Amino acid sequence: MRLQAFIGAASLALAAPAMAQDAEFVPETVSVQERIAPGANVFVMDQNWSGASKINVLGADDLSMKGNLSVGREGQMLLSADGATLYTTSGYARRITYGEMEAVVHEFDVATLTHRREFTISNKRAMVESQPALLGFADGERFLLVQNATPATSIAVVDLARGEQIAEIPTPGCWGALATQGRGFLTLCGDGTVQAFAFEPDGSFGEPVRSAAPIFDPDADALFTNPARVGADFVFASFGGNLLRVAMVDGVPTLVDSFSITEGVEGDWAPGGSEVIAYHAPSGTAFVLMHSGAEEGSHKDGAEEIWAVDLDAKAVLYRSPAHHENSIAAGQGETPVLFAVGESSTLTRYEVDPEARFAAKPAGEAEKMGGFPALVLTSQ
Amino acid sequence: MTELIDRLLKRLDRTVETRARRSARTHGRRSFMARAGAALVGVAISPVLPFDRRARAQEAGEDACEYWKHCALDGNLCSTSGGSLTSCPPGSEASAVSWVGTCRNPEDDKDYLVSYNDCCGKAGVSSATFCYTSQGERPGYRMGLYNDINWCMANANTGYHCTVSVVVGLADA
Repeated sequence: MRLQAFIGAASLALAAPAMAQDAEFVPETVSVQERIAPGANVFVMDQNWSGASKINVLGADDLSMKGNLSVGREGQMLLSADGATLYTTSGYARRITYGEMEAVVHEFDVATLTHRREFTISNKRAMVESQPALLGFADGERFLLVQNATPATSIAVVDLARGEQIAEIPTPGCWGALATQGRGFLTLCGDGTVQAFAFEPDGSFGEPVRSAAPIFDPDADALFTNPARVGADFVFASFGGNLLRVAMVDGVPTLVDSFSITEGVEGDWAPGGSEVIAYHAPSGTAFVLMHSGAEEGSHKDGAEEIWAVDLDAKAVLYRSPAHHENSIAAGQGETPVLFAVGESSTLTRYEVDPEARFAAKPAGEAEKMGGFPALVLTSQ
Repeated sequence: MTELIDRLLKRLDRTVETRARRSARTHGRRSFMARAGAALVGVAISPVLPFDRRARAQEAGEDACEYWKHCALDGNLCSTSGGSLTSCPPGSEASAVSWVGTCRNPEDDKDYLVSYNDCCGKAGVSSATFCYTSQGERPGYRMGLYNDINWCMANANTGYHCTVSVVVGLADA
């Protein structure tokens, strides 16, 4: 009895603090945030060829991490003009690295980082580094243009309203699909020509229209695939430091202007990277990723400087230090803001001063953007 | 050489095969074709190769990115992934198609055609040496020279594992 009394008293003594805690303790509950913080965003594709590709979503003003989107292998991404919808293409092999492949288009709601819908397209989707020229809109945002490679090249046309692929347009020897007016696109070809294709809403298409002559020399001065869109025209950077402006003139792809940004500059400077040129439309200024000591094979080298170029004056305005970036994007506010990412896996935000000849100064960075941060886009 | 080219082209997609072959032979691999043609007629190719890079290439072992056969290799070295310079690691499979580089051997100062085959069906080895060289590399409009694409694309199993460097011909006679 005495032992039982002792045990009982001891139990009460031990329980008393717990009971007091119970009275004060409010258990936490798990929840899911419904929306990301408001404001413009930056999207960084961390591409993967043997697993999930991930898209980092950050605030454009402070590079705060808002969340991510995850898709399949070799992801490509495309942002709607209003910044509210992100489309991706990617591949899902049955056992991730082996087995039957399924190519999927995802449509994501940016505000909630959730997918609205998904559907499959042809497995010919190119398993290639993320690039804007390889996934684009056509006819406003009614169609997607998807680069295929088996390695034979073609363009898949996807009707977004129907949620299905409606055509495969062979583009042998050519690469990229850059939307032109209406239901058309341009593509760069290995013989130096630029070809224009057009299609109908039912998926039918005609023969391409070639530029009257080669526009560039793929051997001596190749063009980077991803140009800046300047109005209805495209400005391509070349490996050797020339900027070539291509326009549709009377339905024919035409070289309407070209000039060098490196002529007379010491140090063998040249563009380098993948998305090497970005354009700020309100000021008419292009920004180009540049490296020194350029030679055959250095065209993917990270940037040592970002050159601001006045396209009308055909003049380099300023050369700002860079951080080995390979991909650059420009916000389209009144004052330019640049976002660039590359080999170091760090995303750098640059503020540009129009009063200082468009000098770009770092104004924030976000580290650890992934193992292969291949592309940056912004809704700013 | 014709056999090599045919092997590289053999997996072109059937749907657009005819048009693609015609174009690839005309445009898509013109640079490679030109070099192959040069070999046949005995015209030397002389790509610019700075002295310091040549010295590094001469000294580098095959597990180093500076090794001369890796002059246009963007990927993981199979020789550091359980395979070798010319063989895929166990359990993986060689890509059916490949891209081609033209690399100078510092030992004899001759240019060689190097086929870069990806090895497929597995994830990469985390400790593998990653190389990022692109001499003579061109975008996808010269597909046969392009190294930013997964060349496992024509295999049944397409996960990227690593890349081998296989000398398949002499570029200059």
